[in-house]
Amino acid sequence: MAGSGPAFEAGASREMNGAEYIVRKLISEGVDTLFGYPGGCVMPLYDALLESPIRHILCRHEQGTAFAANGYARSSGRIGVCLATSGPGATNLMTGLADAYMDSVPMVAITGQVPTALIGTDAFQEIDVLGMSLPITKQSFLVQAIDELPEILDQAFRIALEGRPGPVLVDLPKDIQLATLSEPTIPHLSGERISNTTTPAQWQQAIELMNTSRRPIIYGGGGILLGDAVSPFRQFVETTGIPAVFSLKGLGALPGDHPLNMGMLGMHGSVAANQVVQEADLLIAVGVRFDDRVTGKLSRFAPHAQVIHLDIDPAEIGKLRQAVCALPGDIKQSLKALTIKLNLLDWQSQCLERLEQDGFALPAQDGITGPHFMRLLSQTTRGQAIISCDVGQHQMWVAQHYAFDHPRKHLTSGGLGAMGFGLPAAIGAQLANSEIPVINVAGDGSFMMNAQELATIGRYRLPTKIIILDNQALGMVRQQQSVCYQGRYSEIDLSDNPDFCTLARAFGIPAQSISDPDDMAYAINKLLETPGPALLHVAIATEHNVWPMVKPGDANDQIITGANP
Amino acid sequence: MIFSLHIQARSNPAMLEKILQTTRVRGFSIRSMDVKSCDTERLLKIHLTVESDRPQERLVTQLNKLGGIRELTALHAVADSAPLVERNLQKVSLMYPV
Repeated sequence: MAGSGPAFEAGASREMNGAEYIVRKLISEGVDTLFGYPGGCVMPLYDALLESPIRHILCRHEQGTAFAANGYARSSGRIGVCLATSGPGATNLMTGLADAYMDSVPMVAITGQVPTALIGTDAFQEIDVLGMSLPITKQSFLVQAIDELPEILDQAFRIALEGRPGPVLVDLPKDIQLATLSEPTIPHLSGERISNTTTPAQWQQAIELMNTSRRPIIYGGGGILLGDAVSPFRQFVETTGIPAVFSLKGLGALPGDHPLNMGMLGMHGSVAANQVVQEADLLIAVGVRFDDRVTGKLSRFAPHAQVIHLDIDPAEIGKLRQAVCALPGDIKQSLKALTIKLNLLDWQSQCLERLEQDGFALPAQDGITGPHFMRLLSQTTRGQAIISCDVGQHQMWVAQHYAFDHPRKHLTSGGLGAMGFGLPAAIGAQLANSEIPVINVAGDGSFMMNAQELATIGRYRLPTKIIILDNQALGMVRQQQSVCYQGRYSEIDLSDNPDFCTLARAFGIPAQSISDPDDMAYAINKLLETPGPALLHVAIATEHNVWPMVKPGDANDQIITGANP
Repeated sequence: MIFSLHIQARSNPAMLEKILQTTRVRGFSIRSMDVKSCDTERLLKIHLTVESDRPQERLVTQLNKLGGIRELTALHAVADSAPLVERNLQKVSLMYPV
């Protein structure tokens, strides 16, 4: 890490070039860690970084930098910043930005661009990054003159955090980085939460609906964490006594062992969670967007329920499901206003009974199974580790069986479903949370999509642990081909995977492999106790599937279990 | 359903692209568009007529979220069979020394 020089004291003012200004601005915004990869059009910025106190993490692919910044932001609530050069550097960031956009993660991406005079000439490593990024960022900027730079950077950091968070891209031509900015001042504009736009009359309407409901259910999502509303949400559940189901991104909003926690609903939710939603007469939707993975066939989702919808983004309310009571604005304030005592003892005991009968169960199968392993990992870590998932069957087993104690500890590519997310996101999370165990739970397919980031973990000796559930196949694709395409398996075989333990050791990371269920407890403990990074390879059967499952396009009451596929 | 929008937006790079892209992605097709740039205010004044079987509100709320939108008015909804307003456009050629 480079040392701190007097030129980089936040708030100081002198003549400087654009690159130096950017570094000073990052410092004034409290950015302590930057994930990047250098190249031709960001060389002035890399030169300025040399004398700054900012910790630069060199990933081994720009997609790794974007996912690492993404994981940093998700696990800390602070803005994740990544940096790449023009052309391929910038295009490689795009998946990470799209993921942040879908899951409302605050990020600022800075990309180099060819000099302004060359823009539009098909210059070397020139690509229209501004145009490419429009659909996957909250806002994108191209700095066209040095005088625009301070205002654009201020806006970028404000927009990324305010209201519904999201990624912002700033495209910086090389000549702007080199141009002189005279006597700049560097204001610090932190993100401001928008005030509530809901009126007391709307809260009163919601309270009347709650008072008359006999079968209310809370449907909680990622907006609870993003709205800094975990504590008021828990108070709301405790006081009202309304049972709650969660989307993938809502997991942890209520402790996993809480008696009113019905767990995940939707495509791979429990039968119990889906059933109580189908029976509910009132659905209190908190920070959710009625994603198709949650609702199944929308017209048959929660068919008897009136909906109260709380969300900071008015565009989400009524987008897919009409709300009889819309509560746009700050979720925290609305939850506090709706925290009243209700008498729901009969309904609570019905829900509890359903959960006992039809909650997530452990399968009776030979060998190590994903559910058994995740249940044991959850018990061993007491739900307190940060789990950074990839995408696929293992991701669903984590969601079903790992009892998170807080949603900030569950890093998962929910909206985009981007394979390759988990390993670099774990790097970012580890750098933001040095005191908390960080575990990347990957599948063999996902792991290979950003396996180069083992080098980053090795270089910085991050104590990140890696668990690969290896079924030698693209398991989730195989499962859908099994269930929906009569077992016509197409391009899902990964039986020529490398030896993952040898691969890890090549990067200086100790590794072990298990295939016997009796070795699970020992291996998990050994993994967690190993100082520095370590990898655990877990061999599981190709045939194991994730149950229950709602087929794409089916209604949630058509859910199938492993017993009746 | 066909309806019109009056939009005032900051004249940022790609502002117009972002509006058009949002319109397309959210399931609305453009029947007509008139754009004027107001240099003194750094504003774009856009009159957009769009068609979709989706509710007008779905587009309005998404456009309202875009950074740089200063004013947005949904003018009216008209039936599919109603004639569109015709506009007289004047073609202007600009010449400058090379």
